[in-house]
Amino acid sequence: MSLLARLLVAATAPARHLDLRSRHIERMLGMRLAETDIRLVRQAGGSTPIGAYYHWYLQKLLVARAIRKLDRERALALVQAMDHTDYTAAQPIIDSPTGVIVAIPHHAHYILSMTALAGRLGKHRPVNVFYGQPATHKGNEVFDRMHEVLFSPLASGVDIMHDNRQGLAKAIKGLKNGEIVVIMPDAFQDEDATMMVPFLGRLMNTMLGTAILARKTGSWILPVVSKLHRNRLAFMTHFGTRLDYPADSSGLPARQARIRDYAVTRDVFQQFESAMRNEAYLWQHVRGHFANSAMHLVDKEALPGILEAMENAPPFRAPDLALDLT
Amino acid sequence: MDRAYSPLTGLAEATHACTRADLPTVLVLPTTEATQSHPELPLWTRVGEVGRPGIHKPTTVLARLRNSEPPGRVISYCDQLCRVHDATIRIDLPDRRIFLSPIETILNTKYKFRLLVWTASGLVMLPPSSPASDIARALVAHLRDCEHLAEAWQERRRQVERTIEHRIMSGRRQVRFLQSSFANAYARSPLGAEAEKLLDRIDTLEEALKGMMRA
Repeated sequence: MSLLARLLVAATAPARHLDLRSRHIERMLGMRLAETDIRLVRQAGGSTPIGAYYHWYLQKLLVARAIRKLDRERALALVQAMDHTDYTAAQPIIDSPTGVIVAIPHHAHYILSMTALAGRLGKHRPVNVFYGQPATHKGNEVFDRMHEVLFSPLASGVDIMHDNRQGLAKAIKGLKNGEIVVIMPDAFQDEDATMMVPFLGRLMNTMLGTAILARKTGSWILPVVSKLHRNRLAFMTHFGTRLDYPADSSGLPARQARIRDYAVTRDVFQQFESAMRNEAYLWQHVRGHFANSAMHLVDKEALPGILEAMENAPPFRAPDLALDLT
Repeated sequence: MDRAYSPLTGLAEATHACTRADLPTVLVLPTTEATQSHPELPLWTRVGEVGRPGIHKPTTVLARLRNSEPPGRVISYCDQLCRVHDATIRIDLPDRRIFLSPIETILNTKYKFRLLVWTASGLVMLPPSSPASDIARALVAHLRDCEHLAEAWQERRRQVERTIEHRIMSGRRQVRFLQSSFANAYARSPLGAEAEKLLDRIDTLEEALKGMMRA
């Protein structure tokens, strides 16, 4: 990273505490924010000064611009220079006799965290980075490009797979063979296929794919979160606590397996929440998430009543009258 | 659009018609700035979505009728009544399936109100006790012609709520909410017979939605 970029980030750091909207700054950073967006960002993590969001956006922009221009060696050197992670907690991944799923949300410099971690782990065991195919997930071309630039030599041990039938089969096979899969559970393709988990005071739609992979392959899950390091142009990867899929799960009826999948997924998001709670504005989905109303799931006692009410209300109740005007 | 058939002309004609013959009348008008602020409005009881100033919800008007305090002139902003609890009559049209509010039909058939429905080509008049299908056709034409009012029509964007597609989507969200609540509640406890029954009922709701999609 250039000295100029580092100086710029350092010099503008005090503005993080200012809660003043500036359209001039937004124009300079190429941000398109409506008043609603500003309100949602401020809500994230209690009361985020909008200056902190601008400062984060500046860092993101500078990193993206710098990396785009670099070749493989220099890009990896840049990632290494920015990385302040203590990798002691990553050793169990390398030592694991089974497959490991590294779950990481789209938070802070998550691409750099993934790159640095995959690069390290790939020296020991095959690593597969799993994500939505660019055809259906706008913006994911960046992962394809980065892989091509950073990891294309087979010796890197890092491969990519898309969330289609082929990718899924490859992930399962790899995990069964003791490989590592890096996955981002806070993205989905089809809302109807998701379940809702409590997350940062709202309900979050999420696929149960991470848990299903763990169940089907006997792998364990390690939630990790990328974080800023001292608000400089630097990052550190926070390692959560290992999550094992409950041991007695083989041969469970589909219904019970689904509930266990849900429980494991909820635990993954609980760990994400602990790491992200005070800096949710660094999360890529912050505005969409906080735009949802603050709903909560209903508890065991209230469930029968709510179910009955839904059964007797539209759209599940028959219409008062049906007229055929065809 | 021809000025002669504007909603305000419809309001003026309907007011005049009520003065000439004192029949209980429901006038169906679109929600525009003009139809919300006209000086003749106080002569009418206005029905629409709950929570708007000066607007009564349909059940309030029906309660007044049951208590023998009949409002003689009612304006129904049927375009406001598009939510699942407000629009409960299903209409199958050649190209789509939508839901309409029942208040106009109830007032016409049970309480013998004459129905005057604004359309772009004039007021459609339906005498008391008209067939429900005729009322539905008039309301469908009304909503179709509201489109001609373009941005002046304040309820334009909300009309998607009366489509079957929107209702199925919203139903799916409700089912996912129930499934998630169930999984959250039973994540750490075994499923007993009662829990299995609850899950069966949630599955039934999901099946009902699939049936709606196929129909």
